[in-house]
Amino acid sequence: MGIVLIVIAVVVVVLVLGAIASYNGLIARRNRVRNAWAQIDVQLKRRHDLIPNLVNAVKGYMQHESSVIESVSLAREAAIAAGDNVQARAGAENQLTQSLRSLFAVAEAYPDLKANQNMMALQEELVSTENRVGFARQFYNDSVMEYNTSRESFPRNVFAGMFGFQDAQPFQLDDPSDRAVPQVTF
Amino acid sequence: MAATIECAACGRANRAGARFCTGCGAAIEGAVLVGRPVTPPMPAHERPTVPLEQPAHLPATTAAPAPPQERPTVPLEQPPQNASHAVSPPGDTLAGAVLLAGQGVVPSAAVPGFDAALRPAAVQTAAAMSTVATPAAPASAAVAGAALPGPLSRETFYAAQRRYRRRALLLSLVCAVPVLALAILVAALISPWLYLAAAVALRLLRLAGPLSGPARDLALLIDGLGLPLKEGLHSRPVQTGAVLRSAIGLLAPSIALIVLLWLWVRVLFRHAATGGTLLRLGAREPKPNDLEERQLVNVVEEIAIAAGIPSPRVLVLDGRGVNAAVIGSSHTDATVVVSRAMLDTLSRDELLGVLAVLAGSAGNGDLGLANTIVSVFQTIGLVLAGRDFLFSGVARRTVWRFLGFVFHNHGSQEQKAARAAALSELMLRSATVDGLDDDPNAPAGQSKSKDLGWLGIITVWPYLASAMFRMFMLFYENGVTGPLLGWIWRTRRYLADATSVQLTRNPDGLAHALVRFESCYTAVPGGGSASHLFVVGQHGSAVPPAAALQLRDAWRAKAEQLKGKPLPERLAAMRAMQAELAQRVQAAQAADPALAAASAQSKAGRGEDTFKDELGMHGLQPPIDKRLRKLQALGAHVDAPSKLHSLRHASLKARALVFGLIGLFGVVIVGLLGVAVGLIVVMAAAFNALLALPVLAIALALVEAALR
Repeated sequence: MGIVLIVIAVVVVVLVLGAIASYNGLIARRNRVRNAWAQIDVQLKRRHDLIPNLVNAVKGYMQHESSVIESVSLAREAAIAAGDNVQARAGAENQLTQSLRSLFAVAEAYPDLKANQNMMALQEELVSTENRVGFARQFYNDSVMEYNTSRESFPRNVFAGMFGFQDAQPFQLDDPSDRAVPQVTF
Repeated sequence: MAATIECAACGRANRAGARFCTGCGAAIEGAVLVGRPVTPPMPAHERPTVPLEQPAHLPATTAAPAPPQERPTVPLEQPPQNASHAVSPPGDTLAGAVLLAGQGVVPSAAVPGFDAALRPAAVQTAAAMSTVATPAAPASAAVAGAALPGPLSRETFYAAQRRYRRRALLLSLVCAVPVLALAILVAALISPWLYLAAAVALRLLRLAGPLSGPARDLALLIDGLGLPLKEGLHSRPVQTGAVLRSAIGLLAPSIALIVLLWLWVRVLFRHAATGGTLLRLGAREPKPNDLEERQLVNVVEEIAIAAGIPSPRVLVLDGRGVNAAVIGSSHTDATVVVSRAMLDTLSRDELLGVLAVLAGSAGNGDLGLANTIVSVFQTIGLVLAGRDFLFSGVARRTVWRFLGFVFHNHGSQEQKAARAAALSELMLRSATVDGLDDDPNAPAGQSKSKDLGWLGIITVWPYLASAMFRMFMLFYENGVTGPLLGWIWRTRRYLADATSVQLTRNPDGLAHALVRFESCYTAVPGGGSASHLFVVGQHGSAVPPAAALQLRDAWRAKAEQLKGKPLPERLAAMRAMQAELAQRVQAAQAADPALAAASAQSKAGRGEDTFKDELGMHGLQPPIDKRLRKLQALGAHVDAPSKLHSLRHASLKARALVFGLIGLFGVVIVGLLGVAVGLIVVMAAAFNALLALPVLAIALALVEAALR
């Protein structure tokens, strides 16, 4: 009789410990997912902050390309205005990326501008920011995968359902037109 | 490289290096991205198959990977088997020449630097030949017969990471056992002295009056522990249960003391080691007006985002060595040190791959692991120094320095860091067989330990006991814990490589960087004690590349001649070539004093105080060949050489001969070693037991006197 009680007690203790470990693990991973999502925002904001400097540096050299410069400034304002609305924000950020690409493609034709130290530094910063956005998205997706796998695999899925953990959504290009190659017109 | 690139959409010929078609504006498929890419890194499933980014001033380092059926091995007897496949025999076509470049008999690494100098020449020749043929790697594979490029066994980096993590964990658990055993042995060494100290204290207390309260309980406890000993002395029957209990009672306090000391030392030296290493390396802050160094800082921050760790500090090293390291106590406190020469040598992709290895290594917790391992040996060294306090000057110095570090640490950051580094060195050295004597390599100015003079006679016995134990520890560390720890660390390096692929989604970057490292001078002065944290092992190439290329061709021609000849003749010819090579190296060094100086420096760097070598952690950096093979399994397009000395295709006779010889010598050596180790164990045990028993007896007598 005593042995049975002990065995039951041990089993219960193991279950409780397992539940605690699972819960903590899922919490840590979910918070990493949230943090990663916030990181993307940080890098996008960094890009917003760099653009006025870029526009100022470029304006002096590229007087005839005012339309391209305008589009960059407008896209930036639209992205800032979109705020937290995910759909609008995603669209605005993509628009900004495309207008930046056009700007850099056009700037290829201005050797003076390319040789300018200021411009080179700015270009490096913008390239780095684009890379950071990309890496932040990659890290977000990796975190999401880790969290979802952890949530769905046995034995954690037993506890995940109990504690109300939901699947996270990976970052995807929802709009098929985003996958298309941007057309650059000179 | 091709002068024009055709646009896939409209068929117009654009200049090489154009990213967008001037006719229709579409992005050019397979465009060579010269300079910095503007587009963000694409996810793996969207990544187009572009040839690798090639910096303008260096030849391409791609080589067409040989189709799997002709994976190069060293054919000792037969020519390569390719008649059955739709591929022309080697030497006839360019692809065949590429095959030859991949295989071939490379001499053993007996002559330093030769092996290192050979490989890039091989790859460069192959690359030159392949770029003359076609601009893109898949195309030359098409020439070779449309077989799929890449090795037979591919795996995802997730699977690779899981495998390495599991292996490292398993090895750590296995390694914990011998380390625990060592700790218990050290505890057994110091516990008699602890009890003697307690007994003396109790006896002195008794002078003030009869014992009472906790002092009395303690005295009774010690007395109880000594029961089996007393009964044994009086030749009364001794119960095994009592012996066991008393043994545990003897060991428990000292084990607890050692564990507590270890935890404390770990915390104490966590930040100290970092400062010391950085000081010794002489790294500087990156210059703010240098674009490349700013780019480096940006790249490090980018990869830190990908790894999910806070952005590490970036420092730059000047000097000839091409290497990088991550130094610190944890992923939140890491410093990435990159040499300026690496910035000049590697392209952006390759640099990214290398930095991703460092960031991945930091993110996986390798820094904390290294700190833990080092702190274990530091603790053991400190405890042994404490035990040898009375009769060894070095031990005394170690203990005084440690107490000074704990209680009286003042001065600038730099002074503190230097002091901590010196103390760490002392403590680690104290855990080795040299720990009783002064360090002959110590920098001038360190005071030599004073000689005990005629007092030395009474310390002969404890000195011998300690020396015997250290001898035993030498074998133990080099035979048991050293190889295990080295294996663990090498597995973590492979894990870091796989993590680099995960972070950059581009195994080619790292693979090409590694290939380039083989031909570079990677020794960093001052980096000896942190050699395990560098991205690649430190070596210097003593042979100038041009001469190496010549020699390699000569060697290969000779190997062709020797095909089919019996083994002794081949061995003799190889030995002759090695002698000639040594001569040529000397001539080259005589002709160019700078080269000789560099070679000497690299040799000195290798012989530096690498405590990991002293502690027996063999081969901390995995060989580049193996890393390249593993990266190839992860998808890198690189001509990784297969196992050069593989006997798979050797004749049965040769194999039997080799294995028979190895077996025979192995048995003899193991037997001799076993006898030697057995002797040492017995002597160490005897000496220390004969030292411990009287001490314990005195302690027990004192306690008895205290209880009366």
